[in-house]
Amino acid sequence: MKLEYTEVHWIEEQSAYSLRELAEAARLPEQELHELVELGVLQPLTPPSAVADPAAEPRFAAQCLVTIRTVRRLREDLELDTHGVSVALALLERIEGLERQLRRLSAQLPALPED
Amino acid sequence: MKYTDYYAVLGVPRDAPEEDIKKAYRRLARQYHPDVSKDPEGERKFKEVAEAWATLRDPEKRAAYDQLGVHRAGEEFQPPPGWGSRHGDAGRGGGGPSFEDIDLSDLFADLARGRAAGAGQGGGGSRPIRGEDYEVSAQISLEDAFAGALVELDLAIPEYGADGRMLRRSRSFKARIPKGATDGQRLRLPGKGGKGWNGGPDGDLYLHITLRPHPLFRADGHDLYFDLPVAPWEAALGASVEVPTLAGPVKLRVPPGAHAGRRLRLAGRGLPTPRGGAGDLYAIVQVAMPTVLDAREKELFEQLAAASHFDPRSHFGSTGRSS
Repeated sequence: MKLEYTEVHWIEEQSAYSLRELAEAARLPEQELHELVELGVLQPLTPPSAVADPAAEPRFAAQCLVTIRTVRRLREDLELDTHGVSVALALLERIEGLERQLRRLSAQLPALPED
Repeated sequence: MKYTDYYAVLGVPRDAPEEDIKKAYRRLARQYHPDVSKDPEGERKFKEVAEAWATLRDPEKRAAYDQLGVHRAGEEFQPPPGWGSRHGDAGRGGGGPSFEDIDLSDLFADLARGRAAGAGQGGGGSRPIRGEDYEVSAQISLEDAFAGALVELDLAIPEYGADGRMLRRSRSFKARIPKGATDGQRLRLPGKGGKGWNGGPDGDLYLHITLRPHPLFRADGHDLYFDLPVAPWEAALGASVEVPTLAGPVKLRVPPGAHAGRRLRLAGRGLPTPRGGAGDLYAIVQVAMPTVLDAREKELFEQLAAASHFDPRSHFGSTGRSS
């Protein structure tokens, strides 16, 4: 067993991906990602309405890779279709938001005295 | 190789029809899937359930599994001679197969791969395939998040040997967690996932960072909070007190009239951020009361009570007055 050192990348700091690059990294057909974009599961960094050049390829944050990994898990493990996945993801996002809020509040609250 | 009873994992009899197996899988997946369940054991349990389902859902794999016979769960066993060759395991190199360093699940994944390669006649079999991505959790201390840390990761990742056989190889490597990681952050270790096939690139390893609870500080993103107990006279008169930070103690001025719950900010003394900044550290004032008063203290408090016009309950109206 050898010990090797390895480089680590921040997901947030990586450059943006095109849809084709995302599809390659996630090993999903580009067509399926198009569907996820249409359903609003994947959102480009710049909303289409704010893009000056209509021919410009939309770019996606590296964080989308994490979303796509979740999409794959939900679809493969729970046999959800794309619409089901998009609903499940919306609910998961709400739960994550609530948990973040809960963490924030409990960090700010003084610890309860032990009586 | 250790035997796993896939029927027992799904809680169905060995002769259960496909429909019942599917129902059992769906019920357990809903219960344990890591995206759905908060069960700390959920991930491990789901893995077992998914492994059982992957084999029993496929009539060919199920038949191959049934041929292994009935063993006790966890019992060491060897597949019967010639097992696998009847199930599309074509074109394997010679030499006695070794089943020692693989899991039962690897055996069945291998079987499916052999079948796909045999059916594809080299067409689908030689296409470069990117290695699998893996995700692991690493819990680090606040001190590590503050200063950066070297964590050692041990993984057992399935790989294919030179003869095309699958084996589970233990890999151990050190990853430097840079300063600025915080709870829930994901880091990507390129090329540290599963090996690619046919010249395809290796997969990536995703590292999911969680923070170990700290006895003093509570983290919210890159901001940190801690409770600052002060004596009633310190709260009333103000005080300069020594407080802990991750970089060592500093002096903090508590302003006069600090009420309980007030947050005093120590700018830039939280966790560093990846971009070179830092979060803030907040001291939350708590007015602490001595549990036992000596005679002199009691006398002074009584004098204060007699002299003071302070009414903390004025907003109650007349009902809240102390009589």
